[in-house]
Amino acid sequence: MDDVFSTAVKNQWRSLIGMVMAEYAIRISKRSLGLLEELLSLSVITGSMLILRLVTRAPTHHGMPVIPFVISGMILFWMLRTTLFRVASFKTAKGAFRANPRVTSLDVLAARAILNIVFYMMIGFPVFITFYWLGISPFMANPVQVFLLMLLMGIWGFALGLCFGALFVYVPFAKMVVAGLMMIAMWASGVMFIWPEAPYMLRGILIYNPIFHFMELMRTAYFKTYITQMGSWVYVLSTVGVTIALGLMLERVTRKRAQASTQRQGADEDAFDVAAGV
Amino acid sequence: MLKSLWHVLPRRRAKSPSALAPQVEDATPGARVVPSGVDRVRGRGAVVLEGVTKTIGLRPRQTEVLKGVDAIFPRGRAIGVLGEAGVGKSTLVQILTGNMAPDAGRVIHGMRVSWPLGARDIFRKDMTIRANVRLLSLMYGAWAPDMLEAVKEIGKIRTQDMDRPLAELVPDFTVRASTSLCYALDFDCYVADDQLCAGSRQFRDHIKTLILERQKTHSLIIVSKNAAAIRDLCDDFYVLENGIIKTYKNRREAYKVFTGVSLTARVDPRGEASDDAL
Repeated sequence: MDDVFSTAVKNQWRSLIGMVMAEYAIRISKRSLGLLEELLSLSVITGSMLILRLVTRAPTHHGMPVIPFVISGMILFWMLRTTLFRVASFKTAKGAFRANPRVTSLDVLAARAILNIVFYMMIGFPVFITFYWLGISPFMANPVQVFLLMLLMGIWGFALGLCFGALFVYVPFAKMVVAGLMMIAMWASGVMFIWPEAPYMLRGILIYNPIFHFMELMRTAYFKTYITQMGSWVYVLSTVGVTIALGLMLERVTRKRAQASTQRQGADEDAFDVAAGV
Repeated sequence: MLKSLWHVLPRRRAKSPSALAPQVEDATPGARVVPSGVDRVRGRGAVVLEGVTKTIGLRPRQTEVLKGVDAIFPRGRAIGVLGEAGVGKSTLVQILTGNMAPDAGRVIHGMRVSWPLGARDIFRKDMTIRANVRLLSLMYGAWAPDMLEAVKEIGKIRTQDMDRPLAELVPDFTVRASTSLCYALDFDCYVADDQLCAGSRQFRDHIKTLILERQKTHSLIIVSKNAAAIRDLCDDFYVLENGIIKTYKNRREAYKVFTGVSLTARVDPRGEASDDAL
């Protein structure tokens, strides 16, 4: 039994690594324009937020320099957004590997999430360090916590992607609704403001927003001058745990339907007749 | 070079000779006992289907293609499964290779089963042959440089074609590369469908010769509607009909039931002697 288990684990590991490499080849090494588009969209949205702050002549925010304040929040949020939408496309996951018994759609989705998380971490940390060298920002107060928060946000994006992907299988137009909701979430989740600035009438709702907790914890981890009164690691961890359990179940339940359109192998049965010469 | 490929995959072998003896094939009704060289036959047990039921499509257009299939594909044997168009051959192949899970029943793989030999969908069209071979070598735990050499040698693929995306090459390259890689990966059991031996005549003949050589040590399952084309490759025939697999006393009887034509020494020189003995 142990042998079977260890072989299964080994095979799963190989498949996952293989999928990450394949996704990397498709997404980054061959579509550099796509990568630039992604970076550009992140830059545009971050730049517009910064301009907004500069126009209002607010270079600092409760003692936090505004550039790292906005960028630390935006990178975290954008990681969630892109991971979610990359994972939520179930129909394309197995499509390219439909004859491969070693690859399940979950392998492909996990590979996409891993690649996205690594990509945003590779953007985030060099940017934060560059800001420190340029004197724009203090050094991260707790880099380990920053890393953990980015990792958790990526995992949560993966989990939410599984949940929404299941929904999109049945209701494809919900993708547009979710895209709109994400834009609303961006403005209502503490990317631009902190808990003491949140309107009192909305605090009863905002306190249940996990993204807000992420943002508050991120600012506490990044800036020595800010200690959150609201952000909770317990809430964040339990949200991620529950969402991933739900997402994995939903993906499994909807897998058959998601693959229904790509199940037929498209076998060219005449090929054998030709080969056999009959 | 090719000889070394047999030892590419590190494989955990049974220590005692008794552990190498076939475990499930003894129970096969009417199965021939391999007279000699049992300990050289790859794998530890048979591929067994127990009450396998599979429904394809979605409601309300569901079709139950396999209705409680019970079958044993013994170790070290070449079994041909004959079936008319639309009886569920592709579904059976996918279940045998592990690419599709049955709705009910279970599949026991006592051997390492290949992907469908000659399958075109195993490779990604947007990647080069080299990248595809590397990816699959990684997944199956093989040494990629050896696999690349094997693909070049068996498939007669030139180095310059190895680095072009498959979408830019004629489909024949895909067939040659995937078949060559499948052969080089040295599975215990090869599964083939109607696409077996697709490709140029020279390549088909080459592969057929290689498969016949491996029949001494490897298992083979060919699922096809073309009995005449696979008669010289198979030790025995099963017939897939009305969602179940029917077995017969000997290969001649199965062949006659399916095709309506008797196997004679003239059309089947390979099976003549052993069938007469039964």
